Amino acid sequence: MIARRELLIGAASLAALGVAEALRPRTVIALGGDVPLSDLVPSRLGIWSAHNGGDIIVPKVEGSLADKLYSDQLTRLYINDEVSEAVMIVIAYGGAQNDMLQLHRPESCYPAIGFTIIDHRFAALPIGAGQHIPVVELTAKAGDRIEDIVYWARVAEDLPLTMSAQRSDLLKTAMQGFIGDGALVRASAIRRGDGGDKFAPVRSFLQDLVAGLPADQRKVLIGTQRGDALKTAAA
Amino acid sequence: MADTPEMTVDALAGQGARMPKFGVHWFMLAGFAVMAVATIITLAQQVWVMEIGSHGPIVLATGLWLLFQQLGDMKARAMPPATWPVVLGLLLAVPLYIFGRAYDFISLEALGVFIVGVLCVYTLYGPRAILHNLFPFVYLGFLVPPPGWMITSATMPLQELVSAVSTGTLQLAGYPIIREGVTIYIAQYQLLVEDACSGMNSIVGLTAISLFYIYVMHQASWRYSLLLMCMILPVAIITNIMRVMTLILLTYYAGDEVAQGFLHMTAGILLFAVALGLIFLIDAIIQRLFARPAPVTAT
Repeated sequence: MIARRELLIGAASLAALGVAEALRPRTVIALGGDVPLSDLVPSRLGIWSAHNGGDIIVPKVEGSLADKLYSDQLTRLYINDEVSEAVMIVIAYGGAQNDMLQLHRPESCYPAIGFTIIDHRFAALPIGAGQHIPVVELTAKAGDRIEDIVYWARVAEDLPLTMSAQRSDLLKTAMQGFIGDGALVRASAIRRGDGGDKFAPVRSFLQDLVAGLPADQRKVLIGTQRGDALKTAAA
Repeated sequence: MADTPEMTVDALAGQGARMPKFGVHWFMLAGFAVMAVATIITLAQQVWVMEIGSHGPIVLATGLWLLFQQLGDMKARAMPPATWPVVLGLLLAVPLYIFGRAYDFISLEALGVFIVGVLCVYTLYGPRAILHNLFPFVYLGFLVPPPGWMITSATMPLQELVSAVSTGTLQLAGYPIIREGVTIYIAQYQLLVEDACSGMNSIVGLTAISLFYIYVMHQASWRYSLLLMCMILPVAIITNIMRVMTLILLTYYAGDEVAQGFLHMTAGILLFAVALGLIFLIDAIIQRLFARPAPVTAT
C-alpha cells in the first residue's frame, strides 16, 4: 500500500511537469529575422550616407556573449556632409528571447569596459503620425572621449525602458503564450572638444532612420503597432 | 494504517540488506525522477555549458555519492515523517517549479525540484536523518543556479580586482598592457577576459568544490573547517588572477586563437583543479606548521 505522503509527492511531481509543459509558450513571434539587417537598412537615410558605403566589420567571436545573444548585427557610420556630423549606429537583433539570453543594455556594460555614465534620462522620440518611441539617452565618458548615445530596445511588441521593464515584458509575453524576438537600436556620436552635446544630430538621425526603412520592415525595429501606424499615415 | 518507511526499512534491515530497498517507494521515486530528469536536461542545456554553472555535473555526481554514503546513518536515525511538512513543502515547491519551467526561470525550476527531493528523503527517513546529515543537502543545493544578475552585481568588484592585479603585475614586468575596466589590451590584441558584463562567474563553482574538499577531509573538526572556509574567497581570487595572467601571456606569445581556446578549456575542470590544489597546499602547510600529535586512543 502506497503511503498517502508518497502518493502526494509522486502525483504532484508528475502533475507539475504536465502543467508546466502545458503553460510553456510555444508560438514564436518573429517580427524580423528573414531579411539581413545590412539589406534592411538603406545606405542613404535622408541627408545621411553610409561612410565608405558599407558596414563596419566587427569580428565575430565564436561562443562569446554577443554571438549567443544576437543572430544579426549591423554597425555603420553615417555622415552628414553638409554640417559634418558623424553618427554611429549599432543594431542588434536576436531571435527567441528568454530570461537567460536577452538583450543587454549599454549602461549595464559600459562600466565594465572603462566608461562612466555621466548623464542618463528617458525621452520620447517623435517619429511622425503622432507616434513616439520611448528612448534612453545617456552620456558616457572614458578619459577625453565623451559619447552621447540614444537607444531603444524592442522585446516582442514592447519597447521597455529599463532592464526590469524588459524582464517583466518578456514574462508578460510568455504568459500570453508567445516567445518574442528582440532588437536593440543604438545611435551615438562623439563630442568634439569645443562643442556642446550631440543629442540633436543623433535624434534627428534616428528619425531619418525610421523614415528611411521600407514601410513593411519598420516593425522589426519599432514593433507592429507603430509600424502599421506609420504605414497608414503614409498611405 | 499504511506501512511507515521505518517499519519497512527495519524489516529489510533484518534481512542483512545494507542498502535500504527502495522498491516499496517506487511511485514517489519514479514521479520525482521524471520531474528531476526533465530539469537536469534543461540545466545541462542552459546552465552547465556556461561558466556560472560548469560545476553542475561534478556537484551532481559527488553530491549523490555523498548522500549514498550517508544512507546507513540516515537509516539508523529513521523516524516516521509527519504529513504537514510534505503538504507545506509541496505548496511552496510546486508553484515555484511550474512558474520556473513554464516561463524559463531555471533558478526557480531547479529550486522547486530541490525542495521536492528533500521532501522525498524526508518521507523516507524523517527529520532527524536530514538534520544530522545537512552537508550533502547544502552541497546539492549548489545545483540550483543563482540568477546571473545577482552574481554579476555581487562579484563585479572582484573581477575588477582580478583584472587590476593581473595587468599591474605584468606591467611591472614590462609588458605593453592597457586596461579599461575589465577589458585588457596587450600589444595589438584586445582581450575580453570573459563576457565583460559579468562578474566572477566561477566563484559559485569554486566555492562548491572547495566545500566538498573541506567536508571530505575535515568534517570531524568544524573549527578547522571554518578556518579553511575563510580561505575559499582568496583562493578563488588567486586562481582567477593566475588564469587571467596566463591568458594575457598566451595571447602575447601565441596569438588570439590559442588564447581563446585556453579560455574555454580552463572555464571548467582545470580551474577547479588549480583551486583544489591551492586549498590542499594551504591545508598541508597549516597542518605542517601547527602539527598536533595524533589523538591517542585509550587502550
